[in-house]
Amino acid sequence: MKISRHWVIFLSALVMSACKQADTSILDQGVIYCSEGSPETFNPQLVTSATTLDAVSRQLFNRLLEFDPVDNSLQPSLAEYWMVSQDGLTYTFKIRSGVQFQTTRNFIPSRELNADDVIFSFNRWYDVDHPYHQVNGGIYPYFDSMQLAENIKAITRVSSRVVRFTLYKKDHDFIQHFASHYTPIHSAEYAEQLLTAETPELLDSQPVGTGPFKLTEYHKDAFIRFKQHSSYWEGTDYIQNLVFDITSQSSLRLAKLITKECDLIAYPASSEMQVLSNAKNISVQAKTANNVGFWAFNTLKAPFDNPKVRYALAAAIDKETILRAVYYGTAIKANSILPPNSWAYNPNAELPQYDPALARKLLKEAGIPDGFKMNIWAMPIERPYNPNAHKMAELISSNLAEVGIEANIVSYEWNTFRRLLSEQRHDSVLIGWAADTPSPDNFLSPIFSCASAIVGSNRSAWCNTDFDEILYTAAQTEDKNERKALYIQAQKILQNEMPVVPIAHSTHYLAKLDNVHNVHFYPNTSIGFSKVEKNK
Amino acid sequence: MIYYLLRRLNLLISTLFILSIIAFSLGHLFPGDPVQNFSGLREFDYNQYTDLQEKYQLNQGYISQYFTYISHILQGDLGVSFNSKAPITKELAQVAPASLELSIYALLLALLIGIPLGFWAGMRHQKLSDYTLYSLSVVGNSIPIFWLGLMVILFFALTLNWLPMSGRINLLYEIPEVSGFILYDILKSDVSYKYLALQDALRHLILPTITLAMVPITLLLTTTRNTVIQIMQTSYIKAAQTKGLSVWQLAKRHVFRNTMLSVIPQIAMAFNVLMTSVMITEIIFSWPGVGSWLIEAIYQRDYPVIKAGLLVVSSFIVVIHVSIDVLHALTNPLYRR
Repeated sequence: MKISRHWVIFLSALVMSACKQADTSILDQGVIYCSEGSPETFNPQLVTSATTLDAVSRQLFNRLLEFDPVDNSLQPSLAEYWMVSQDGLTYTFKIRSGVQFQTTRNFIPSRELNADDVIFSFNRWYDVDHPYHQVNGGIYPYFDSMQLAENIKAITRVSSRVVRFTLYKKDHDFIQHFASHYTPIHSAEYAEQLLTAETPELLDSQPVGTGPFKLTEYHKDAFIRFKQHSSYWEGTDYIQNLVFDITSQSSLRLAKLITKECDLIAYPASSEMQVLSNAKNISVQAKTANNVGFWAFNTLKAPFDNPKVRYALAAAIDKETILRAVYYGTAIKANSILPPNSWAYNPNAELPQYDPALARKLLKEAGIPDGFKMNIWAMPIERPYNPNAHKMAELISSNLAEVGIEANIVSYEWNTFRRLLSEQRHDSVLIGWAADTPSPDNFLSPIFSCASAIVGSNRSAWCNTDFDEILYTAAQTEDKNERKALYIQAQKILQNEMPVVPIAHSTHYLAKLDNVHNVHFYPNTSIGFSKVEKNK
Repeated sequence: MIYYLLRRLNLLISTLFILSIIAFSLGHLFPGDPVQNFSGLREFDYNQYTDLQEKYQLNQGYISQYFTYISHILQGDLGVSFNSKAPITKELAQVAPASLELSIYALLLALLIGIPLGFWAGMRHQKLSDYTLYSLSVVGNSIPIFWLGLMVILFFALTLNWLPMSGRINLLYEIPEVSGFILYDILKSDVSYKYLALQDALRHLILPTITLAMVPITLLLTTTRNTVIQIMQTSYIKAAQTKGLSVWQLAKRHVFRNTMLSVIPQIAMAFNVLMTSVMITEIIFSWPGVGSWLIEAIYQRDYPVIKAGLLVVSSFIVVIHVSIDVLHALTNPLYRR
């Protein structure tokens, strides 16, 4: 009899399928976010890519502190309060009580959050002898490029609710890291359990955190499924289910928003803004530019090791056209690597103007023959700082043709692209950076420091000890004006050396259906759904 | 008959042999170390490297490498994917049912629409309905499938907002994967929203099925129509007509069976067309099947997946083709020569 019942259901569904959706409570309790790519891992400590951070950091985890969405000041999160000593060397955090970890398929927490979890989360990257340090690669790009571990003297457990960090030298940006994506609090108990089971690598693929959602299912290049963490410490007044529908094509995301297959979409293309603003029931949210799109030269390869060649190439490209054709007016021209809203921005910064004749002359002087061939790597995904790298590469290559250079455009799938970039296979690459904290150091260190050339996001592989020295001194300096002077000096070095050509600072958009509210979408943090509600 | 079967078997084996040679050589021809291309592992230390070399006999001559490769395939070991690091056999088991499901529905639709309409058109040869159906099928046959797919999306999904345009089901419905056939899995699941999920899955099926079925429908319609016209002109039909048989009796007794004899091999053709167009359809409708999987693998330079995918898909087509051929021979003695 079972089969015949199935047939009845099947046939009646067939009949009904032509009609509109009926009352559907499951659909009202969940949100589908069409994201732009697959995360590389589920642990923010191991990456710097915004795709991964968006998927992971605010869904699964909490940090000790949070940035205030409005003024970027620091607010308590898992730390109830914190103290910094007079000499600026000791940071003490009081851990919040009553915070529960997520219960997942392979872990049931037996205790609430305490100091051990905090210490575990920091020791993993800080202590090279920690059993988890080498797990899944042992590379922590953010911390390594900032050289944070070098400055930490000790991380101590004062009591079960108090943790203290001691530094060797003063660092005025240090406290900001506790609110960045990269310092999530993991469960030490879960880590212990995995270690006993001899599967420590699962910590990063089947994570347990204190965040508003727990991970239930992940199919690479297809979707990520999250479920509400039913004992979330900030209250559970938000959606039950969250799905990241991985849709790498931007036009497809737009179409799915229009057909309501997505409730929100990531990175609507600048060229689609017109369509979005005309569409019914769809609204667009924007956040200000704290990013930069640039063209980086591989300074390890000749002739790009010659600053004169780099300067000539910078003068060969027509940025005004790029701003119009690629960003559709949603970006401003970059004069420095720092955006104008940064407090260390140099208002007198200047980059070479578009001048093909000058470029040709400089290239000739540097001994570059006519018909010289180079490649431009164009990143395959849309980022606010570069919504269409391929188009930009085409524009640049036609600019280069004017000065007698033949450019070949290269692209791979995002994870492959990043892997090959870190092997320094490229001549030049169109990529960019979005800052994680309001500090100017957050632009300069990850993109240009020597440490970052080895492990991080320094795509020009440029390493200048004077420059590193200035950044180091700036972090030690208390007086903001002095610091600003130092950062301006650093920007001047960049201007002369030109390891990268800054192109634009752009606005970051999110498009959503009107019935979805309270999405966390602010500068310096990734997207978050912990307060999201959906109306019928 | 035995001789015929042997000949078909010979064809099957030699084709599969050539395919396996191609797939095997790709392991060497693709960029990178053959050890990586055969195993799918990309990071290993020296010991693991030599172990893998031993496992695939890569330090031996090509012939013993080939036989090792074949024995691994027969054991169901296709290596792992570069990209997801999951066994390729497992990935294939996830995507194949989705493609197969879509193809089966499209083929059923083509049979249900193409053959009866073709029959009708043939019976009403040189009348208005015949002209209309025939010209429609010529138009349908000449529309490229990707264009048709985009047009139905533009019209039914984007403009009218009637039907969804991507995927198999709204992702908020969480259906545990049992067989990989979505409708079956929904019926077998014990979720509270079974009925709604089924309805949603059917809505997702409509556009891709119609798009995919278009070419097979026209193919079957044209063949059926032409065969019926031919048969209607034979002398035994004329004799039957003079005996005063009604059109219905005529169709039932003489025309239908004779028509089906030439239509059945066309079903095999239609299936071949389906297997290639299903990949295109999947990409247009973001259907998570073999086509999307392979395209993604090409884009990500996932050589083990490209190699295995090529082998499995083409072998599948060859096997199906030969089986339908044999089936045809069983029903039509004239064909066995």
